[in-house]
Amino acid sequence: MSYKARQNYKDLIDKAPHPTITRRELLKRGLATGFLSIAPSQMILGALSPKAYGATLTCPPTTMSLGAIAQIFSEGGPTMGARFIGDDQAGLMNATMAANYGITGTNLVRLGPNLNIDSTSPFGATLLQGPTGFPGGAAAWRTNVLSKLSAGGHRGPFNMDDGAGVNTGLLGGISAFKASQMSKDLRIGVRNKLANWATGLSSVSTNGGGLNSAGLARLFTVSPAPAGLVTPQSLTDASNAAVDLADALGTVLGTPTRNAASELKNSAGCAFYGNSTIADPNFGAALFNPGNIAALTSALTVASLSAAEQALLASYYQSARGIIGGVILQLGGRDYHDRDPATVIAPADIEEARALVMFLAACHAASAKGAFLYFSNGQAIASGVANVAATIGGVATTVNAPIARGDAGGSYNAGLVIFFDPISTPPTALMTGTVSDSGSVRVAAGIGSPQVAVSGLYLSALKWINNGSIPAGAAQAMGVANPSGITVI
Amino acid sequence: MKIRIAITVALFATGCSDHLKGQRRPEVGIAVAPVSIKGNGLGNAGPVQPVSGGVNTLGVTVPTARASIGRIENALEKRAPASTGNFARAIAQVRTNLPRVSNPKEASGFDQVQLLSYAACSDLTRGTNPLMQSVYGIQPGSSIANNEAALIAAGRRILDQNAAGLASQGPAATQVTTVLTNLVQAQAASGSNTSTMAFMAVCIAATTAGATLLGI
Repeated sequence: MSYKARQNYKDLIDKAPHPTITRRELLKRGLATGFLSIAPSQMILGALSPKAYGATLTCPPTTMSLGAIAQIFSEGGPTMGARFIGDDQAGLMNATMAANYGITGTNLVRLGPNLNIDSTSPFGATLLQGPTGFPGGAAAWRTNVLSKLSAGGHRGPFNMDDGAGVNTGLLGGISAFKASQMSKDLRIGVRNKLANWATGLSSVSTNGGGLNSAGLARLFTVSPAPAGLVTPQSLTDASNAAVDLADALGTVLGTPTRNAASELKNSAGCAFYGNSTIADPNFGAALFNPGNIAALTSALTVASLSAAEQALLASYYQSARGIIGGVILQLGGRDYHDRDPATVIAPADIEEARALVMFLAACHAASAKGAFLYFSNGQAIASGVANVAATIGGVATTVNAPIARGDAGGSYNAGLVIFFDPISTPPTALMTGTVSDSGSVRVAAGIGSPQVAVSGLYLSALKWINNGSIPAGAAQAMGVANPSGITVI
Repeated sequence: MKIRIAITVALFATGCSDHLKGQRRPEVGIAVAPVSIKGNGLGNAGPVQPVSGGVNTLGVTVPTARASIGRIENALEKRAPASTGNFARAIAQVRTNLPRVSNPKEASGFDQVQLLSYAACSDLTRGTNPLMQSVYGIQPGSSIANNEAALIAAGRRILDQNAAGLASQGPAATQVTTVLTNLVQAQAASGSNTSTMAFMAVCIAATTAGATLLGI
């Protein structure tokens, strides 16, 4: 009854805040309000949901694109100059430059365009020796594998004294840019900051505990073991049902009309489908035990390799076949200055060269192209070499190891990419920057930062694997407007 | 007549709010004096912290690593804690691969969430009197067909945990039941599948949907 009670309103307005309305008007307004509050939203959702969210999930086909891409990030400050030498450096080589690099300077061997090594250095000797059991031995290794290499790179931007650039984003990845069955990169020992564009790339990681095939197999197998719990088909059924359940609830939650809904559905849904493969209990072991891979056992004596080398060999092989994406390896403790040439520097250089040998053997076995990226965040300057005893692949020998005497921000360093072609001629690649008589280098204009160099070298690697064209979306994802300015092929 | 009166009263009560409540004037003709808020100032005008939903208020979001683990725990009513069992071991194995950002356009690692769901669900199947039996009423030794109703109910219950009960009630409940029914019957169609395997499929589907795909 208070509704009809008359009151004397008199404050900001001169009339009652609510005009008198009839019952008929009240009903009319109530019905209109009710209709308008319910119908439009239902109509809009009904129209959008089949298109935006409830539509059939479209996942990219499983494609196994041949070609291996791998990276070593040598963390610390090694004598990078004692590893690879460009053609211009080789031409300028003198006693001062050789001493600064930590090589003899008198034993240079040219493997291919822009790719020279000192045959007596730990790194060079390891590359030349090749893997145990390679048919025809070291001579055939050089003819059939090492002669199919070339290199390019960006000199200078990685120089930071005492490894200061360790977290400037010198680690990358390729899983979004190169089609593979698992659509994942394998990161081994990666602890430092990745390039910004690489942080969101799909990957699996292993850190610590010793690198071995069984450990890698576990990364690609469901845990606990699937027997009695799931099969590849039941996991696919579960993935389908998960998407359907989300669709059902999406109409209530308004998901279809919200920004990035379709991206969520496609990214997550398609990622789920990829798991059905690893519901096979033998899948991981079949991938990463090189002893079970005929192409590898016929190319070298797998049993002669260390557990870590076997794991790397299999990883690189699966990257070459297009089963996994890239293999990103971080090797720490490479702060060489004042370290012992025999017990620290030579073994570390040999370890890195052996990783490259595994990469090349895997590409050769898979008859696939390869691109191997090689960065360090520092550089130690040397004062000549020390002849030391070393063991390479189980073979005792002597090598001329660098005597690293100090950090050398501003001296020789480069980000490198090494190209392998199993059949044809490898590309002639650029080595940007300049080098002086002492071996000190300067960065080229246009390579303004290590991040730019990393992007340029990854784009170069992708271009090589992708038969001369940069995969769609890669440059954009890296924020590179003009790739040709920073690629080396 | 009584009905018309009842409808009129109901519409009046809902459609025409008591708009004068809270605006009562103490005295006719005298405006209410402004009251200062203690400690307030121009610097506080407008929100100083991100509003609920962050900058992407109209978009979907995905849980990052820790949130994913929490949602899986929540889906299973904390009966598969992240600190023990297969779930804990799986977390140790995949923790570096879980989504790191909440923007679906930039996030990766969704597949790892499903692997975590798998591990957590497997913890409910362990032992002589597994939780899938004592909590969800699924008899491991019985056929999938005999367990069909319990399996569907289990899926709804799991999904309800991350969907505020909308899986079992509300406009989507029927469709949810249909999806779960189809899933269970697909598992039954394979003669080698057990009720434990059917429960795993249901549990993984409901857990991953609730943990990752709802966009909230």
